[in-house]
Amino acid sequence: MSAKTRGLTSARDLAYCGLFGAAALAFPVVFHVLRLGHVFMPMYLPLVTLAFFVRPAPAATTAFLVPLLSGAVTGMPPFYPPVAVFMSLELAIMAGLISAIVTKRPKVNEWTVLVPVLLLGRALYVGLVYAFSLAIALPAGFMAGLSFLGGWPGIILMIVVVPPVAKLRRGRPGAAVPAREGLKSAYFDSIAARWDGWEDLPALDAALASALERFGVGPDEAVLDVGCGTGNLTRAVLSRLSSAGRVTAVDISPRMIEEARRKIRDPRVDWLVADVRRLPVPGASFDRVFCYSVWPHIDDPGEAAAEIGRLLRPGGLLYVWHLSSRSRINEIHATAGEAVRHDLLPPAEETADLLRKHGFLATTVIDDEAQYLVVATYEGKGPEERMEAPAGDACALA
Amino acid sequence: MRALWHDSWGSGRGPAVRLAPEARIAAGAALFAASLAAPAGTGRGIALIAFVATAWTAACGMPLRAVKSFALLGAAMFLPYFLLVPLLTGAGTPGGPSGQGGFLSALAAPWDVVLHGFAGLFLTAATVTSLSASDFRRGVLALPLPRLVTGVVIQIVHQTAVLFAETGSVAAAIAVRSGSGRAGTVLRVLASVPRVWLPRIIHRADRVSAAMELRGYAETDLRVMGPTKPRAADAAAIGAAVGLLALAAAIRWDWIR
Repeated sequence: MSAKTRGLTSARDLAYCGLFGAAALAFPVVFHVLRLGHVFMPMYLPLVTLAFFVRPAPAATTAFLVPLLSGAVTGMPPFYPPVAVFMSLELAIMAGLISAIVTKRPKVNEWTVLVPVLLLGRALYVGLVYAFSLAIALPAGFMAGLSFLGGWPGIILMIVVVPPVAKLRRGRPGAAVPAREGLKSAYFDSIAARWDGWEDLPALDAALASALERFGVGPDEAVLDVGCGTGNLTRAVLSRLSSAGRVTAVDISPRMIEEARRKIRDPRVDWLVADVRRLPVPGASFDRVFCYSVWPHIDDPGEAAAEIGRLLRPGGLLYVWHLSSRSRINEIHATAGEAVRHDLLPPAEETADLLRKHGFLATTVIDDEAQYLVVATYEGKGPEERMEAPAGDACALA
Repeated sequence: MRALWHDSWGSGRGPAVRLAPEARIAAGAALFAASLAAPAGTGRGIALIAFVATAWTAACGMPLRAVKSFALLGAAMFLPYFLLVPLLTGAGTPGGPSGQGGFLSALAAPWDVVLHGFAGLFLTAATVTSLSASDFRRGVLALPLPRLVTGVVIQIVHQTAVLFAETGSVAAAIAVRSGSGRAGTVLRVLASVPRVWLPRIIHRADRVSAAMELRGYAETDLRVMGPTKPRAADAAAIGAAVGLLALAAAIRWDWIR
């Protein structure tokens, strides 16, 4: 579960709890329509499955609430005798335990977790029925025995059904546990058409041109533009290159790339929809790499730095760069969509330290009210050791 | 059950509907507690339970159709407890109750279940019939509940409305098309749970969570729309319900003679 969250739950957890909770209310309907009755414990199936997908607090809360909600609205399970309450306790404990174990040990075998927890839950339920029956002078042994025997078809069904579904939580991209970059890609897709409307483009073009002049970008260089967005930096770099120079422009958002390609029709540009951490480009391909207005959106900057090191020629330059202050950038992100809300730009010194750990020498570190800039030279391994491209999942567009 | 779910929400037309949603939920909860607290074995307790259940069902204006449905459901769920009477008369059990007195004493536990069961069933159902889905959302948000509970409950109720129609249709289609007898239907449905139902829910949850993330959902979004002012009628309803709860407790623990 890579999503950073605030408070006890995230939007993702809430969506899963809502859907699986609703399914726990709907499944008894399916079984009822098909005259399968309640012997298979249809309410338990979705709630136990849910526990493999969300964190303990939302899993246990949902499992606790569903029987009560169902009891209040449909009368089943009843509140007296307190079957609804017993089911709530049993389900909450089972869901909380499963989720806690799976959160702590994500690679644990699903059956190993499920079987003992189901048995524990059933024992608790039977115990509660026994105690209540004793308290109101019903035949306790008979009632508990009935509960014990009645639960087995449902338990067997869960043991058979839940683990294969729970396995879906493991690394199915964009599905059981949606990758953070998938959400970001969708977010940037959704704002791509409006992006340039938020910029003062003439002023931005002037600022970029002036900065590239200072950086000394040469006419025949190979430049990588990471997080190119709608291509404003790409265009500024192209204006400094000769016909021998080239730019590789990369973004995780296909719509951003579409916008950029609509604006820039230049054979010197290769467009890529890809994650910077897995670029399908041979090693030592670039003289400069610009990470302009993208660094806080990279989920694992260390991994990105290592990949950029692979892509740079010896002595190549990396620019981690924003034309606003760090506080301004973080303020903008904090009030933006949930997908980027937690993307905070660290102090420039921290970024420089991280780059040093990956074979860079930071030569410029600026973190003031006007800009954020870390320039670092790659001093790592030679190109012969870095020619292999990783098996990336990029989509080359040109 | 599907009909019960749809028929319940907001179908009530009684005077209680004019109360603030949170007052309806709070009063319903207090009356439910009162019905549980009152003893089923004394005349005063029985009278109080019957009064509370009947009065609140009438105040919420629960439709007759729903009353009949819940009465049938209650009969199916609770009356079988009387089948336990032979086990409770202690026939052949040394020291067990026997004879006329024994039979009456054996009726006490099933009677307790039946009376409290019916009362609880009608009180909760009546409260739900007094609330539309939007009333329920507003009421839950206005009550002093943990944000996690509020968020989960609102999500479940919202998603259930969407999921019920689709689920019911698919189930009916399976029932019609399976044509291989009851055993075949059972096997087909059970096999479809891991291959169709649960993966569909996971897929939908992914889409919903992506949509929530995109529009910037946060727990702070859980707030009541528009101002809510405490009104005298709401305070009176909650006060009366709490008073009845106190009365039930007094009868239960014999504070009044």
